Amino acid sequence: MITETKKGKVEPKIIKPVKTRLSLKSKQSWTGILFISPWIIGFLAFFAYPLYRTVFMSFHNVSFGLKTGWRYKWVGMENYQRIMFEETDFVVAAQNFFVQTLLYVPVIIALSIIIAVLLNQKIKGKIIFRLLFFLPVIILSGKLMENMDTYGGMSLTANEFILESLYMIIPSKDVVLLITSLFELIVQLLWFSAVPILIFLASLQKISKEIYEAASIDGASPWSSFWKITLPMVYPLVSVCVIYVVVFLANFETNPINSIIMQSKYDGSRREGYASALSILYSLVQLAVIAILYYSTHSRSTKGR
Amino acid sequence: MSDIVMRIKRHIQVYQPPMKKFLFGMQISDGMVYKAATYLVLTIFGFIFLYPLLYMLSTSLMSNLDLVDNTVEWLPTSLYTFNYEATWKALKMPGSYVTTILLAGASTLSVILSSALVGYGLARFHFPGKKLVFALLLFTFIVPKALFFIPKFQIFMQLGLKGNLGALVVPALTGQGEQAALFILIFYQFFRMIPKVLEEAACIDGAGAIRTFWNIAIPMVGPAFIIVGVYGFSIYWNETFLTSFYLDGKIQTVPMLLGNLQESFGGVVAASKKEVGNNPNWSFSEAKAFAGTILSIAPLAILYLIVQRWFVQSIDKTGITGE
Repeated sequence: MITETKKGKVEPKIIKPVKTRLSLKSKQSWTGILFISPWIIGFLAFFAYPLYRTVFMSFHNVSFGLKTGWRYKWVGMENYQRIMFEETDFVVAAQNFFVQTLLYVPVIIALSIIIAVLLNQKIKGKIIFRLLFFLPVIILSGKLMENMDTYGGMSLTANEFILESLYMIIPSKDVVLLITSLFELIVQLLWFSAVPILIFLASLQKISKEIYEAASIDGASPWSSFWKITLPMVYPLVSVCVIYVVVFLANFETNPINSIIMQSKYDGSRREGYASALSILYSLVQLAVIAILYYSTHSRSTKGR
Repeated sequence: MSDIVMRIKRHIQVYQPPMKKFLFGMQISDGMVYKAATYLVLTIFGFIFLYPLLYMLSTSLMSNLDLVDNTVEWLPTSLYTFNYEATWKALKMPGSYVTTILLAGASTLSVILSSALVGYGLARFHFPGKKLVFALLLFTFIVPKALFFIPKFQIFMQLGLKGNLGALVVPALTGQGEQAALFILIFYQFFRMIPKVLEEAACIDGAGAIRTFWNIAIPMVGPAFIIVGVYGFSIYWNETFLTSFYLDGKIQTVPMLLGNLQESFGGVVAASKKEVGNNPNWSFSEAKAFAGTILSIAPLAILYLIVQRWFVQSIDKTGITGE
């Protein structure tokens, strides 16, 4: 009896430190997992499972009856075949999206770098300009864009006064026509570039003034220090912005593909299966755009983030 | 002859540098031309950028008579607020404002709660599979939302979330709300910047992980709450496409009502037939659509004006730039 109690008292003393050290580490990782557990649940319930369902449904013909509930009929690749070869609406819209995004994104990035650099100068009224250019971060929505667009808010031609004064300044009629037709596009692109401006400006503010001073003492002009200092410093962020802008454009409400998918769900001849196949193809198109733009900007980045 | 040339040359040599410095700037200070160009380009971009808003504002203050009048360009003949009064009724305000604020507010609070938790978990603890979590986070951000329209519809139906607030709050609480991956990364960056010593001290004093999180970590990341709060609120306010799909038209926010303003405006006209008579101002025009649009963005613009100071300042702390 006595030896047993002795053993019982001695043993914990030896084992305890080892045990706590081990458990501290595993306790740490368990606490971490506990903290992110909401995300894990959400990921499984609202990402992984829906993804599986989408893939599953894209190979099926889905129908819904009030008595029978959801019914699935295996059709193989038929949905995909119909989208790609028989019906044209998605293919045309996807091509438009592909080309448009490839053209827009470099312009948006260039515009936002220029504006960010200008906003980073020592000028009066900087706060007002910043206030202005960051406004879309908060108020931009599909409805706003749609209403501005459909009722002529974004085109110069609705306004006689500006047209007249443009004709006054620029004699050539073709140039004025070019300006007015580009205007709407530039308005849109400027409204889309608020977040990239924000990101670039934040990174510009991190560049220390001493680098510019050192460069200017060595005789560099502002022009060459822009190309040799500013641009290389913000360049790693270009790929971040590229991803952000493509994702934004793809999910934006005025994007016709989203409504094609949505309408297909209620279309009697298409239903959920067809819509699922559409959304999978759309994701592939978007991933392709991101991959192209990401690698074409990333490979030249020296930092290789 | 050559003497004159020499003189001019010397003259240029003497006076050129100050002139050049004044115009183009040298070394550290910027010159006039440079400054003027900066202002010019910024103003041009600012004008192009602001043009639609100005146009909307001025048009929304015009009566229908002004709209068809060719001599009226920017300034309406009189300050005319009827468009706002009419769309105010058609958009069912102020009740719809309250609905939208409650909806967006509840969703934003859930997003903040979940992203703070997850961001803290990622920033402070080491556990197997952390890299995988980051990769999946990025993946959830990149993949278009369209991929989940249909299965989510079914899932919400099964869980009984369709057509009520749950359709927004439940995904937001589990870190799958709108742009949630971005918010998690923002919180992650902020939590990583807190010195670890503070939390270790708290741990030695016997505080548990949750208590450390609540009492030490949360008060340190105030700016993150502002950014995520404002940005999340605006996203939930503006999002109509998916929300109207999941809410099934049972809850209608201001931007959703804006989508069918023309019909609801017709309803208002029908309801007040006595006043209408032959008044041409009662017919639907772009002035009404613009008035509605401005009413729908006004609360966000006011919010932005209030918080912009912190918003712009704390952006460079977010470290969106760092990853």
